Amino acid sequence: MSNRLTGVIIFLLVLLLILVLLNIALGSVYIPFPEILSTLSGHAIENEGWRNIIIQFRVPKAITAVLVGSGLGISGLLMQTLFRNPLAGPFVLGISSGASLGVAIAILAGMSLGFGLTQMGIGGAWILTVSASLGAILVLGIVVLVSLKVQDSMSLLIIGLMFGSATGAVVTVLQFFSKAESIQAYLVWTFGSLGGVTWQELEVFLPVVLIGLVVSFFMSKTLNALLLGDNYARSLGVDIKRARLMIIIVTAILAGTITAFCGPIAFIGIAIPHITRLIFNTSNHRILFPMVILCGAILMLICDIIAQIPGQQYTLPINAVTSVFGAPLVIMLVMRRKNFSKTFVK
Amino acid sequence: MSGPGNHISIELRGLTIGYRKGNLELKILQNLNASLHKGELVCLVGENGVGKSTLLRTLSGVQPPLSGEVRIKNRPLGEISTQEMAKMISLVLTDRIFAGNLSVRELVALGRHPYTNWLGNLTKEDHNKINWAMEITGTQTLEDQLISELSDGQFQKTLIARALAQDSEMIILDEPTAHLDVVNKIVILKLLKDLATETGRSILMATHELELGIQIADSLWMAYKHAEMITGTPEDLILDGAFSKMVDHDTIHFDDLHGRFEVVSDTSRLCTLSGEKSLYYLTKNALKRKGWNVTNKETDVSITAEKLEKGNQWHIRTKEKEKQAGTIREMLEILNNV
Repeated sequence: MSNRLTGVIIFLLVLLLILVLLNIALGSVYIPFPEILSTLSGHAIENEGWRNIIIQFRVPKAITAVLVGSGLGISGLLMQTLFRNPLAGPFVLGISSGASLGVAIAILAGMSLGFGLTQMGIGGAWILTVSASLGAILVLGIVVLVSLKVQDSMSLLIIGLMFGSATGAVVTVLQFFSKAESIQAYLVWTFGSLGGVTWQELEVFLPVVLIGLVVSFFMSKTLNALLLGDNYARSLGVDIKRARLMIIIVTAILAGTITAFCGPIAFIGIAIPHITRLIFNTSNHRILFPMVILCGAILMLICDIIAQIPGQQYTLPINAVTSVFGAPLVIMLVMRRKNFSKTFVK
Repeated sequence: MSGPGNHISIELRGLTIGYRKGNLELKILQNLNASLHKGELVCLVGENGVGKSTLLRTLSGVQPPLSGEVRIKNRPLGEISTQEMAKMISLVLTDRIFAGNLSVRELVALGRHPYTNWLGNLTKEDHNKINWAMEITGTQTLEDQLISELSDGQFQKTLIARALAQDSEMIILDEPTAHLDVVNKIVILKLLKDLATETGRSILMATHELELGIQIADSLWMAYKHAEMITGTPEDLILDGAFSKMVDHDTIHFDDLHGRFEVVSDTSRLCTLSGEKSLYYLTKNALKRKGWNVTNKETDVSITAEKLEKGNQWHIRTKEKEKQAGTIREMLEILNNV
């Protein structure tokens, strides 16, 4: 590893730490920074309300932001390499559409049956998570079956897109027959949210995402071989079908879990791998993996800080912020690099 | 290690290749018998669509044969695992690569994939092999360049270096000279020839460079659309008329003596020609293009090419008059009016 790379990693780690602290420090309620530090270091502070806000809300939210950014970044990278397509992202296989369908059924169909989630309080959040997971798992199962049938990855990509459209259509039909309030409840879910994940949920969320990240790092050698295309990869001893299956499952677990807990977070998954490749100008997955994890976490924390609009009562939908803030960043990086398209194909 | 067949890298026995769709068999090439010997360079030639790529895919184990047998190092292809194959055969394909921002060194290093641990860590031996592969292909000065910045010739050399780093006895190449200019074509073919001779690699290459192939290949595999594949030393194949068989056009003729295809002119007028060697050949070429055949018999037109201090000169004698030309173009213009 070169010195420059080590330097960049240290810089990003420091930046990450600062952003985590900033993310916890800023919010709708003003809490003095020293109080935050002493709470985080385990000391008691006078204001029990502040302590509650920090421990019960802000810390889980910061952890969630880190997990979402890195998890979606990695699954986007996996999909872009598998499909050799710069437009691929974590959701091309229809994972988020499946989750949306599950949630739509829970909210829209559930309400018309008379048990609105809003009346169910805490339990309602779990129902959303479970139904999103079920939807994602359903789509994952179908995609895996299809992937065993089709020969080339490109067909799989098209089929995934078709799944997305079909499930989207079902959601539309459900909306058509639903009341305005339940449609709004569903819409709010599609905006995405980092703030809803509790410590209890983190007990599931954190290990699943970590396992996904570790497994994907183990695949970096295979992914590098896949850069050369299926034929070369096979000639290097890669079992293409098995590799494809592993990539799909890991992506689905990462993207599916994140969508289940936080809603369909757009843009990050496609943008982070590009941003990382543009900054480090490499396609080597052994370098890209740690960098995507760091950059994903950093960008997500920044977006969340912006979404909070420090000092205000409002919270912007995180999906809007990721695109509004992220799109100009990607455009800037693409414009700065000449022959951008050449970074993908030779 | 000794024993019959050990010097044979790849052997085809009654091999039929093609595609299977349900119960239907689409046969592309039938009853192929050939062998690639250790340290030999073999060119697989044949017109577009004859099935060269299908044959290469079958030999590299991507596509199952319809019938017959492929033996790699005297073992049936079907019994060799993908991982084992990776250490026996490396490929150079025309596939596009989805990573313009890989460096030359990183691309070559991917050839070590079958030998590295689960993380892909390179050992000292791996680095030695990578360095050797780049050195022998003349790509070591490019090692930090990104492959998107390479010329077609440099890129092809890098792909060959990657195949060498894979440390396999056999290398299979699909049209490695496809987009190259003449000089780079020769450089690549010379490189492959040297690799076969000096490193004992067995090289099978599908190519359209028939004329260069005749010059450098130890053996040619000639595939035809409606006939059996013929294999042999280029000169033997010329003597057997295998090349004339390749073209059934009236307008193309295979020149046995020079081992090349020539365009047959429609009209044929006769002239005599004399002159210094290189001038003689160039003049003859130009005459041929314009429908003049050079003969030894007495004719109405005779041409003498001379190398003078002030430049070249051509004397054109006809029955009526004698004219001089300073360039071949002028000479042809004079002949046009004869």
